Amino acid sequence: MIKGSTLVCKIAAVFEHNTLGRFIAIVNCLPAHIDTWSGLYDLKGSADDKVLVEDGTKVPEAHKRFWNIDLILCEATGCNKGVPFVRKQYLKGKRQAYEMPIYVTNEQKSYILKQLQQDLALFTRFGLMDYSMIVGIYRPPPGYSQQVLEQSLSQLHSIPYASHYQGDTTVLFIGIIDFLQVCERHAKILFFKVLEFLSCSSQYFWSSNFWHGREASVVRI
Amino acid sequence: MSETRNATGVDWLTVGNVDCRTLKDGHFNLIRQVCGISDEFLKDTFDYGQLSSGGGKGGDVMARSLDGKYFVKQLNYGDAKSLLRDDFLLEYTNLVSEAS
Repeated sequence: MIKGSTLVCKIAAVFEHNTLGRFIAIVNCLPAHIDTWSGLYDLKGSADDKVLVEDGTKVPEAHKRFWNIDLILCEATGCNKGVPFVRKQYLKGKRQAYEMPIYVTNEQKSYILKQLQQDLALFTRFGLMDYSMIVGIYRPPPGYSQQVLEQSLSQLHSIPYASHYQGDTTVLFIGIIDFLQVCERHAKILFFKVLEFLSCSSQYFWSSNFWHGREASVVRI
Repeated sequence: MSETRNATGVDWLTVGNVDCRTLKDGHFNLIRQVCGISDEFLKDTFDYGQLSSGGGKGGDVMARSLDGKYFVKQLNYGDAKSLLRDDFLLEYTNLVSEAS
């Protein structure tokens, strides 16, 4: 185990409300004092990657549904005539999230990948899948990087990683969320989910895909 | 509701203004302790009215605390089954608490 390090988000409590049922209280892996993110991504190392926030603006989710035949055909044929703008933006964000490099130093890359490997080993042991990596990229105003780093050092959320690349200073935060789903649950989902099931039914495939996806997109500078 | 603290955590947490019974708090108490999180971290900082399915996976409702530091998410049957296993909790809390 890497002493003093994990990317897995922290669960602070599980409790039961009298009428509403059970809840978990999870620590936000991103610092609450940053409210404008240059980029906020939800990554799985698959086509399910997505952009949540781009240049401070929330990217709304616009899903394709099986009953929306017109939309599916328009997208499949590439005509795009009947595809709403919000869906195009969402799709663009998904491709961007899948391909985007994460700029970190050599040491940071090595450290992040070790943490990832260790965390994935836990998920693999317990047959967990469908987890996501939340990546927050913050560009501090010029001259404020140190201040942002100091403010962001906390036991609560993830460790900040600052890097400087081609004149661009970024502070990166990473956390792994939604890690409680076991793979056998997918087998019980409705029939129309079968295609999705085939693409990620194997929990081994999930961790392997997640791992290789992340390894490829963490770039040394 | 008076708070009962013991070696296995607390029996009740005040969430918003509602007292809620905790589950397996011995493990989560350890995480709260090493992260410096008070047992009253959700007291008056959470509004059940903000729960919505917008951000939760599979329709589970969730909401952010008013201070933005925590998310409260409905725990569905499958997730509860994974999380509340003693062997998983032991490894999970070890990983998270040694990291903090």
